[in-house]
Amino acid sequence: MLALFSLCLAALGAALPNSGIEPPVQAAPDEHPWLIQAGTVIDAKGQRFAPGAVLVKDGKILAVGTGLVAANAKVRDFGAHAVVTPGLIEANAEIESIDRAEEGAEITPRLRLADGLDPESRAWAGLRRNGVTSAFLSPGGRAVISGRGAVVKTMPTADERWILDPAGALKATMGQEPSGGNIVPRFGRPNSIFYRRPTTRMGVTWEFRKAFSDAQLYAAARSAGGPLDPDAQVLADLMASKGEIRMRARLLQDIRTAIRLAEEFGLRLVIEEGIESFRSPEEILAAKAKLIYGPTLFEPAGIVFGFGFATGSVRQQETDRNYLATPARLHASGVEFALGSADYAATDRGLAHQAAIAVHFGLPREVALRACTVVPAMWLGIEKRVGTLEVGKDADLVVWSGEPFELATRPVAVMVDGVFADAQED
Amino acid sequence: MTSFAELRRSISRPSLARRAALGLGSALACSGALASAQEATFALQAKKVLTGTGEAIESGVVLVENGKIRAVGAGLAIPAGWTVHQHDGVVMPGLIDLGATLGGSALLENHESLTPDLRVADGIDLWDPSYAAWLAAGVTSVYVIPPTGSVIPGSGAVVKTAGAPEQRIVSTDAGLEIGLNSGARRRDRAPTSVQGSALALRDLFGHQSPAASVQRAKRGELAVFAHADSAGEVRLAAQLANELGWKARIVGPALPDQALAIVRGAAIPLVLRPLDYGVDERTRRSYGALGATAHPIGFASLAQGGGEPGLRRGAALAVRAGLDPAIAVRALTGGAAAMLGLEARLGTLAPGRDADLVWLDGDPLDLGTRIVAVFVDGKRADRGAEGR
Repeated sequence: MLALFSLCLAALGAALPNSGIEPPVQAAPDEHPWLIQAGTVIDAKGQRFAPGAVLVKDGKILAVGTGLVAANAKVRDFGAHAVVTPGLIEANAEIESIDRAEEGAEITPRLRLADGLDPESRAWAGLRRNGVTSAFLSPGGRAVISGRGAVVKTMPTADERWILDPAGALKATMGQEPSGGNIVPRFGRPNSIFYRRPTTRMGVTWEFRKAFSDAQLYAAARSAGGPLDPDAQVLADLMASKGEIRMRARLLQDIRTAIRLAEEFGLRLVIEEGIESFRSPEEILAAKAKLIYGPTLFEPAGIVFGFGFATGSVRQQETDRNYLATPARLHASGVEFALGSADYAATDRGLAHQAAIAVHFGLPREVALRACTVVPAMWLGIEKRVGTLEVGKDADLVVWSGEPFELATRPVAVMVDGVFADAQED
Repeated sequence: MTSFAELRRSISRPSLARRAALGLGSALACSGALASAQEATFALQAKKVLTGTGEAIESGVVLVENGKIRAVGAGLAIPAGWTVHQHDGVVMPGLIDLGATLGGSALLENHESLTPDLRVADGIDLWDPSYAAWLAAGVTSVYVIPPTGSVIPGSGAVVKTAGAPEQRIVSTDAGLEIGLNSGARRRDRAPTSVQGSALALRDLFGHQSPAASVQRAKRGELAVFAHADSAGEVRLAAQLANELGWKARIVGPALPDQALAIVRGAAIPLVLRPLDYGVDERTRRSYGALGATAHPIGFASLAQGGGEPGLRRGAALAVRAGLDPAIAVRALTGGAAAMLGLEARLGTLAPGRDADLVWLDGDPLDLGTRIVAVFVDGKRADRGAEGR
């Protein structure tokens, strides 16, 4: 047990008194395979094995099924009540706090969140506590076009191996959020970088449209031998390749704006959050947009920053039309979606909780599991490595204390790339 | 009527004499000839000579000629007619502080975050009282840096803590300072984030920047001192160093062993804050975990002036936590000089180097050890010298 614990910590690059100064860059090859046994194993491909087991060696899955034996394996039996599923994939984790977001400008398409990632951040343990083993880290909504997100494993390594995609989808934010904090010049000298557009929802749309339409003009000028503008080049390339734009849109009006803008510039749309998507699922279907729904909350959702005179609070709600049954309703309407927890991703309201709420309010269990595994894996382009328990895939799995997505169930152990991080250790 | 100047003399003289009597008691006891050690040519016989490379010579001789070291060794022949000093203690090279804002402008030029054209050499006050305090602590050279608080606050200069003003500046441009630490970012000035800083630096180094410091740093002629605290900032510093061709040093990582794990492959030297009392156990252990590392390290007080550098104490506490003592001494002297690219002049006791010497009455890493005398360019420079 102690050796196991050390291995987990060493992979985190943490300092142990006896670990010396050189934590392993690569997980050391396992001398013995791991045999993980539980009452039930769900592979997320439609099969349940009861009792079930997963055989793991050198960070990969060797076998999944019932009655597995391996002569030299280290056995870890989690008992008859435990359920093993693939590691969850958080499709929308916003882990940066407000002081870590870039606020220098509104259009920063070359910014990469991957440059600012801290392997020592407490967020990774928070994600793992939700059973999350891979996550899309989404840049915050403080800028209209805030740059590229990153896809990572939730157990950082001393090298860059844990970063699956340092240049993920380009992120934009609709609605009021990017305008929060910007100031309208009224009197005195404008002595802050925040005296700038947008200060309204209309202004946000304007900034987005201006950036892309300027990029169209730029592309024409550039092909005629004009000078290079690296920011406009990113947007021009995205349009030329009919690439993906990930737009955070909460209210139906913002969802509609996102659909309109994506269409206008020939981009494939991924809608983040989509709190009011239940009001018009058919529009999302018609636009062929990918929807990353969530967070679902017991309270009004969608937070913009600013001073509320009524409440004296710095947090105001953008919408209270937030129904707990939205995932069930979306499913009934034929919308395929992934679940995401946004800025709750690393808290106790993260993905495990989000999926539990969705199931509690009517989403079929298998659909909830797909929305946390197979669907996001496909949409993030990592389906060859993660998302199901299949021979040859990464050994990323969660051991739950009981049936997953029940409010009383918790992850008891999480394995990333064949290395255990006991959920309670964090 | 007494003039103001006379009044000041009458106040300060006795206090100076008293200080000399207190401070020099032990010095005079171990070397009767010390008070006359003003000429820059002399021979010094010491019980132990630490050369600054990690080597220790028992009963060594140091020959100093015209402010430079002529020879170091055991049983060297002393040229006829030379003054000979006997020192019943340890002699080592003057310590080097790898980063302090002494006598530079206390204020950061912070209208913009990237100001690579700024040179601290243009704003140094050589008569800042902090230099005397650093000298008294055995520091003979300081890498003076512009106040940190910007992504590029400018370039730093290497300054001796004593000597003729025109000779005190060893290098006007010894390194380019880069701030990736949280203190370098402000919410009301772009960039406000780590990833924004990365983009701004890539742009500056990727395009034709007119700044001479950027050009020299790109060619690897100017060392880049990248300040970083968290593992994420260290990770970015190592990435940028690799990408932009920096001759990089990472300054002030909060947990040096983790920084080392990240920069190990790139062999980027680490400049550490001197360990202090009262730090948490994790930090203390992290210094100790450096153990007997062959990885280049140095110490920077990162002080704003005032107080004292705490370099010797910091190194001693790191040794108590587990750092190898020979490595600690090298980090304070020869290792630090190498990081500044000034190893041909500073940091070691070897032929041709500046005769910057510290005389101590015991092991430099023993907290009870006193500094007996400090020489800069072969001349006695500490306050004790005034008490002749």
